[in-house]
Amino acid sequence: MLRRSTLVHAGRLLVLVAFLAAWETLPRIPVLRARTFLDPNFVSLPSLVAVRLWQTTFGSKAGYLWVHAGASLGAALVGFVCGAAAGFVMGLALAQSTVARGLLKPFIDAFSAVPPILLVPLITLVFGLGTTSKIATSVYIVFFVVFYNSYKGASALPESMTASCRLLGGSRWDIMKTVIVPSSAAWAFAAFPTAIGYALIGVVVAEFFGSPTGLGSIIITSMNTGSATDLMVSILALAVMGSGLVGLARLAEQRLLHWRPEYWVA
Amino acid sequence: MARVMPRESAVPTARAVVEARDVTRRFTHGAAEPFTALDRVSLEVREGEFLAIVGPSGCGKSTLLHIMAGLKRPDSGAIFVNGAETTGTTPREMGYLFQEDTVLPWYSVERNIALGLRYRGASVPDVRARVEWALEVSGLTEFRRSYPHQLSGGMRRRVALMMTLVVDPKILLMDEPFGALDTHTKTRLHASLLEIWGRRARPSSSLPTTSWRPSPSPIASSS
Amino acid sequence: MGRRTALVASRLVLVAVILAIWQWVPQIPGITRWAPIFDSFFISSPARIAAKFWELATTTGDQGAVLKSGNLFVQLWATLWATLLGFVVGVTSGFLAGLVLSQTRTLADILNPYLVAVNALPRVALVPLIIMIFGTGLGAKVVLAWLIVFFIVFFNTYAGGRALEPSLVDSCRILGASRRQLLRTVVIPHVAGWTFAILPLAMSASIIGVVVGEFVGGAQGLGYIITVALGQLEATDLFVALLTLCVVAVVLIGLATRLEKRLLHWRPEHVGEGGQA
Repeated sequence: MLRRSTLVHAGRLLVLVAFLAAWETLPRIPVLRARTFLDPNFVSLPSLVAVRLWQTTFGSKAGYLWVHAGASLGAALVGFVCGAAAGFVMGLALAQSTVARGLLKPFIDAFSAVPPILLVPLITLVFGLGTTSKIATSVYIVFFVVFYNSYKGASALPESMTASCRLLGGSRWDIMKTVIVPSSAAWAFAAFPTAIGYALIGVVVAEFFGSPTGLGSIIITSMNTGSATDLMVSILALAVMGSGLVGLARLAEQRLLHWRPEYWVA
Repeated sequence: MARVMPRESAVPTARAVVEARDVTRRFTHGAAEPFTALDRVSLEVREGEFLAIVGPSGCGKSTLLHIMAGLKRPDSGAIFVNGAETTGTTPREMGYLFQEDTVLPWYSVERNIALGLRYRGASVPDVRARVEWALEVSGLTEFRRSYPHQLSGGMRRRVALMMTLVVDPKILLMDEPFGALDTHTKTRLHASLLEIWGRRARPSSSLPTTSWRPSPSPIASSS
Repeated sequence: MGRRTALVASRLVLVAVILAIWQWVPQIPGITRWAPIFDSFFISSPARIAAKFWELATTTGDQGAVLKSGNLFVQLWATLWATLLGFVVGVTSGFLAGLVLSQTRTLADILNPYLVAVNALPRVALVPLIIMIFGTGLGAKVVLAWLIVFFIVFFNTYAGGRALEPSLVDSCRILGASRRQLLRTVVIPHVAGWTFAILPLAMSASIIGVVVGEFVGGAQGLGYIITVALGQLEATDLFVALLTLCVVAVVLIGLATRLEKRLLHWRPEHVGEGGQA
C-alpha cells in the first residue's frame, strides 16, 4: 500500500510529464494541426522553447532578453517608487484632514472604480511611446493600491490605541509620529508585493502599444511575426521575473513587518 | 484523564443506554512520544441520567465524546448503545452539540432549527410543531427569520442546541456546550438546558404551546 | 446642512476648475513649450469631446475620422457582449472547478504546485498568445475574458472550499444528512458564498480581458476604437470611446457589486483572498 505522500509526488510528476508529452507530440500530428490550434506555429513545442530559452539567456542570442526585461523592470520600479511615495503621503493626509478627504476622496474613489489598465492608451496618447508613459502607468497603478492601504492604516486604528497614548502624555505630533505614521506605513508596505506585481503588468501592457523596448514590445513583435517560440520564451521570462519580484517584495515585507500581529488592525 | 462525577439517577436500576468500555486513544505527532489521551476509560450513562464530565482542557474530554459519537475510532475498546456495539458509527438516536459554531450562516434561525427534521424527512406539520416548540422554549420566536450573523454568540448557541434537540435524540452528547460564552450567558443557558431536560420527567406549569417535548439522556463535557 | 452643501459645492467647483484648465490652458500661446502636455492636439478639450458626443447622438451618416455616427453603439455592444459572455462562462466554470477540486483532496494536493505557478503568471501577459492562436473575433475575446475570470473565481472558490469547517459537516451528518443533502445544504452554499464575494472582481477581470484583447488585436469594440484613434492621433475620438468605456466598466462592476450584496445578504462583510488578474 503506497504512502499517501508518495502517491501525491508520483501524481505531480505524472501530471508534468503528461503535459509536456502532450505539448511535444500533439502539435506534430497532422490531423490535429490542420483542424485545431495545436500547431507548432501557434503553440510552439517544449523542445523548441527550451532551446530558444537557452539561446537567449546564456547562448548566442543572450543579452537581447535581458535588455528588454531590464527596460520593463526599470520602468516598473521607478514608477513604483514614485507611486508608492505619493500614495502613502496622500493616504496619510486624507486620513488626517477632513477637508482634504471630503474634497479629494470622491475623485480618487471615482478614478479607482475604473480598472487602471483601461487608461493605458490615454497615458500613451499624452506621454508618447517612450519610457515616460510606462513610468506614468506604473505610478498610476501603484498609487491607488498604496493609497487605500495607507489610508486604511491611518484611519482604522482602534480608538483605544490613540487614546492610551494621549493619556500617557503624548502630544498630537507624538501620536502622529509614533502611532499613526507607523501604522499607515505598515499597511502601505503590506501592499507592496501586489502593487509591484500590478505595476509590472501595467508596464508590459503599455509596451504593447508600440514601445521600442521592454518585454511587452518583444511579445508584440513575436506575435506580429508569428513566432510562437519567441512569444513563449518572452512570456516565460515575464512570468519568472514577475514572480521573482513579487517574491522578493514579500520577503522584504515579512522582514520589515515581522512585528505585526493582525489583531489590532480593525 | 476524565473523571466521572457521582450520578443522580432518577431510576437507580435503569439500564445503561450508552457505555464506553476500556476506551484507549493515543495521539502521535510525527517523531514525538505518543500522547495517551485516554487510557482504558470506561463509563456508563443510564436512562434518564445527566452525566457531566469535567476536567481541565486537554484531558481528553472532547476525544472521549468524539469516540462515543463515532466521529473518531479508539485504538482499543468499544462503545455500546442500548447493548449493541456502535464503535465508529453514529447511531441515529444520538445527538451531538459541537463546541464549534455549527449554525449554518446562510439559513435563517427557523430553517436552521428545522434542518435535522428536513434531513430525516419529517412531515410538514411535524416540522412546524417542533420548530414552534424550539423557538418558544429558547426564547427565539421573534428572531425566527433572523440570520446567524445578526445574533449574539449566546443566541447562536441556543439555536445550535435547539437544532440538536428538535430531532428528539435519545442520547445527547454536548462538547463544551457553553464554553466560549461569558458567565452570565453560560448560567442562563445552563438553567434553560436543565429546565428543558427536566420537563420531560415532570409536567410544569409553564407548558409550551405544543404537546411535544424531547426526552434525551444528556452527556456533557465542560471545563 | 450648510456644511454638506459646502462640501458638494466645493467638489463641483473642483470639477469645473479642472475642466476649465483642460479647456483654456492649451489656448495660451506658447504654453506647449513650457508644458508639452497642454497641447490640445494630444489632449483635446471638453468642448470638442462634448460636441463629438452630441454629433454621434443626433446625426446620421459619416462624421469624423474614427467614430462614425451610429458606430459607437455597435462598438459598445461588441465589447459589452464579449464581457458578459466571458463573465458568465468564467464564473460558472471557476465555481465548478473550485467546488470539485476543493472536495477531492488527493487531486487537489497533486495539482497544488501547478496551480500556484499558474496563479503567479499574470494572465494579461497571455493576451498576445491567445490573439495569435484564436484571431481577433468574439471567440478570442471570450477566451481571454474566460482565462482571467476563471482563475480569479477558481482560486477564491477553491480556498473557500478548503476552509469548510469539518465540525459543520459532522454536525449536519449527525443530524441525519445524506451525502446529497450535505452537498446541497452545506458544501454548495458555503463554497458559493466565496464565489459570490468575488463577483465584482471577476467582472472587472472580464472587462480587462476583453478590452486588452481589443487593444492588442481587435477588429471591433471600444478597445479597438481607442487603439485606432491612438494610432491616428485622433484625441477627441479616443476620449469619446474611452469615456464610454469607463461608464460601461463602472456600471457593470457596480451591478456585480449589487448582485454580490444581494446574494450574500446572510453574511457580515467578508472578502475572500487569492487570485490576481
